[in-house]
Amino acid sequence: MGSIDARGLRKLFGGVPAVNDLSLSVEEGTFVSLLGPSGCGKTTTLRMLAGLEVPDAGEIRIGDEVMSSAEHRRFVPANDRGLGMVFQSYAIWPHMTVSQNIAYPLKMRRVDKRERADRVEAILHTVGLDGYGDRPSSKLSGGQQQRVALARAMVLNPRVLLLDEPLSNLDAKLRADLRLELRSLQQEVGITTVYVTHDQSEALALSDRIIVMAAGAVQQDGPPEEIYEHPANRFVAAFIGDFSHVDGTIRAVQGTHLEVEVPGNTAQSRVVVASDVRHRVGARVTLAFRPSRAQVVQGAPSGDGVHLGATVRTGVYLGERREYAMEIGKCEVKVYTDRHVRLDDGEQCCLRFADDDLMVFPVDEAPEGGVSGDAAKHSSHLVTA
Amino acid sequence: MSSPVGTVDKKPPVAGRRLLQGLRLLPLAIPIAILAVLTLYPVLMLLYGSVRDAPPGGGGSFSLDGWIDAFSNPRTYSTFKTSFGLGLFATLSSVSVGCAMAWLVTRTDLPVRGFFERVMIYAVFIPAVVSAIAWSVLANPRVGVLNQAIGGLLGRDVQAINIYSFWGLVFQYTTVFAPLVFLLVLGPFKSMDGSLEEASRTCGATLGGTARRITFPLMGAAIMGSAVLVFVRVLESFEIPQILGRPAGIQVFMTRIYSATRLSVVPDYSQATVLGVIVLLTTFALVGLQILYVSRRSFVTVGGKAFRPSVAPLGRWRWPITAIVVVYLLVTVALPTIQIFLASFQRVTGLYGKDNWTLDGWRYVLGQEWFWPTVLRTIGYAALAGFVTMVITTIVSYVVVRSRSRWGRALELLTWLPWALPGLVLALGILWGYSDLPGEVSLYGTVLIMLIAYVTIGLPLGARAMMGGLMQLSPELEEAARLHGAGRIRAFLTVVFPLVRQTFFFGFTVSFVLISREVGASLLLYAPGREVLSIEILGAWTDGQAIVALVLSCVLILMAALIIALERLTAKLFPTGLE
Repeated sequence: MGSIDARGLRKLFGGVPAVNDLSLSVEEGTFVSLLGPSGCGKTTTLRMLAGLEVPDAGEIRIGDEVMSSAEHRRFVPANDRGLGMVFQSYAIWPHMTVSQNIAYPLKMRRVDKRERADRVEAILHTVGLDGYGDRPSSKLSGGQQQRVALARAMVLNPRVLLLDEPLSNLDAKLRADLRLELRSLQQEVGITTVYVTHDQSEALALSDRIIVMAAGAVQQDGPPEEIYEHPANRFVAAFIGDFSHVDGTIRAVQGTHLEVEVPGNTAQSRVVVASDVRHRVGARVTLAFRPSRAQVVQGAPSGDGVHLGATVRTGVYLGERREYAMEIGKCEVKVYTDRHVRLDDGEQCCLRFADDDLMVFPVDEAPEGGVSGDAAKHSSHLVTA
Repeated sequence: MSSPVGTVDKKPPVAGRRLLQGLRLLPLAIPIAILAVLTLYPVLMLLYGSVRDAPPGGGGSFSLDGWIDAFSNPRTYSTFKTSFGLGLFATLSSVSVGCAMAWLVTRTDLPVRGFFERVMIYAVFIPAVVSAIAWSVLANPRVGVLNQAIGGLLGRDVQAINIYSFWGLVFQYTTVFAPLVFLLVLGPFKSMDGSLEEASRTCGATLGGTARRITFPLMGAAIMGSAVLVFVRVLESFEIPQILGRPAGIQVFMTRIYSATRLSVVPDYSQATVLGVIVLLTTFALVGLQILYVSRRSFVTVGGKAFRPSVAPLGRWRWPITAIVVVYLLVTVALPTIQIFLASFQRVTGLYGKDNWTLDGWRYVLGQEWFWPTVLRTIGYAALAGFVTMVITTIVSYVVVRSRSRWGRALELLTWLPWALPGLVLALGILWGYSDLPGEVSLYGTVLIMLIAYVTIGLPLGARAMMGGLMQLSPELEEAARLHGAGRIRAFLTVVFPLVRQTFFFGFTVSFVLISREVGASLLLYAPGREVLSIEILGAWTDGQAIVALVLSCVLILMAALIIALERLTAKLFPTGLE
């Protein structure tokens, strides 16, 4: 009933595609996040699902019903789709009380007055705003407004709930609390939910599945763990979680194993890494890793795994851990260590990686202009801080 | 397009659906069409009328005689010279004074600047016809109050100040239009980022140097816009040259158009229309240049968030400047208003003797059988036209603000158009447009033709008010309504309109005030029995019934004050919840 299926969506603004040939599906009752930097098309996608934007191409089905089909020139307007939505600004109507705001969807569906009052009462209880019904909505705090917006979106028991960065206008503490509440509420009601955010930790914490977007297209679609542990490309790796990388050249290919020469690596002349993707000899690749997954070995390289020789540039102490900026050849990387590991500026050391912890991406792959910039920002973070 | 798969699509086939969508758009399409007719039609008909050899509604045939006459008549060239000369000097002085005042109240530590600001804004609401009459009483060469006072001081009769002169007119225009400039540049001056000026001061520039090199250049677009507007307004103004210029034999375009149509034994419509077209082309060219200029400049410094304006210390100039401001406001704002009220209680206008005070003037005017009907008619016309104006501008502004297309921009331009149309010229165009409708229908002399003119006159300010109000509304507010089950119209009525209700009333108030004081259009379009206050004021004054003109002026001011007070009161009593 509440599943979503979108195929080949495309939306142009002034001739420029904001969303380009995007397909996604959401199973009934699941919580799916659209995650990406600003301008990646995630909000436009959500607005097309809501019926607030008319797609230039593609088809959207919700349940068994075709909501929008460019090919068949069919478009169900937003008010006939029966969805719930929470807007980024909450869009609480300031000239109405809390109850009037929440009762609005019921009124539009001609629910009679008595039932309306009962259902408003019930939903106020669900979102924890008992007794707030008669308050003028212009006198609410940010968190309360967010709850009213949620109550208004859910009062009709819609089959799908759409959320457009609903936590981004709140302060950090409230955001963390409401995040947990939102997740438990969604699981309680079992409502199909699409959640737009640019905040990776929100997406990781809330979602059954994350769809990472950039430049109007899907970069990766999978459960949070898979997105974090096995990013499909360099953009996803750089966008979600912390990220460091060195560049190298493939010198030999043996099945799924690549021998990569990393310029300036004093520990091993060639490192051997695994990759599912076919590469050819001579191609340039990026070896990427999470800064916390690098083990620092002081002294000579020892044991299994890949070793990269590095020179410490500078380091800072952050209580639970230390962060170091290091150089491997001309590449700057950052490494998080246990708080006990002390390294001096200029010290030579060795970074050791388990097989799974080094990711291999082709160098020229860049879904968006901002990617290399993002990566650069990550690696220079320590120095500027 | 063939019909899609039946299981999926339950809607009627494409053609039928198109029609249905078309019908749903009607509430939007009708006001847009009305706007287009109101603004474009009179302009086109004026152009048409300038090449006809008969008056409006009189048939006639194509003829260029009007144009040939106009350009072979030496008076046309002298009118050019006078009108443009007045426009130039009045604009220069109005813009200088208005900008200086705006700078003083927004960016310096002038004392009680909030009060000065309110006085300047109040001055915008003094009707030009009233102001002209007041100055005629104050500064006419023979018995002017100011001349008597100066003469009393010197001990002999003097004619120190003569308002019936070219420079008198320039002065009069400045008192009327400097407050308008002030109002237009106040917002930009207020919202300019103060750190831009502070940076200049830390680089060693003086207060004056900073104002000259940083503040005013950054305000270039706003100042330029107000200058063009004042120039256009001076060209358009009719009542001021009619009251103050005529005694000195100073003729401008508007007074000549009026003479040609209403004062001649045989109305010369072709002459009037050609003069109207000349003015129209000038004002259109100026407004066009301004739009071009503005579109080339960036507004980074004056848009967006409200910055903290820096307050520059005036230092030792603080008190001398305060004194100048006080004198200026006393002379240009307080003096004429007070003069009008006091003079309405005087037996002999302008004499301040002990036994010269009387209620006879008021008793006489209020006792006239035409008095109340005229007042009620004025209120009725202004209220009805103001309301219609706001209904049209609300819907048009909604379309303009929400549409991302070029059509929205074109619509916005149309709402500006009446700015460039002098009331008299608009009225001429309307005469040409509605006197000879198909089926031999003529609206000449009807209430409807006056209302058409009034609604058109209200459009620019009404649209500015509504666009400002609607732009502050997040589109998400109505999107939320649509998503939760309301159609577009329902969403508009339940969410958008309640939130801009006060803006609607504000726009209505401004239109009401503007329409109730309109002289030029009323004068050309009214028929006997449909006089409004402004016509009666001008008529009484030209007929030498000064006391009637003075009392009616007071009534006009009180009427405007009353509706403004009402608007302020409702804004306080019924807040919409938007801060």
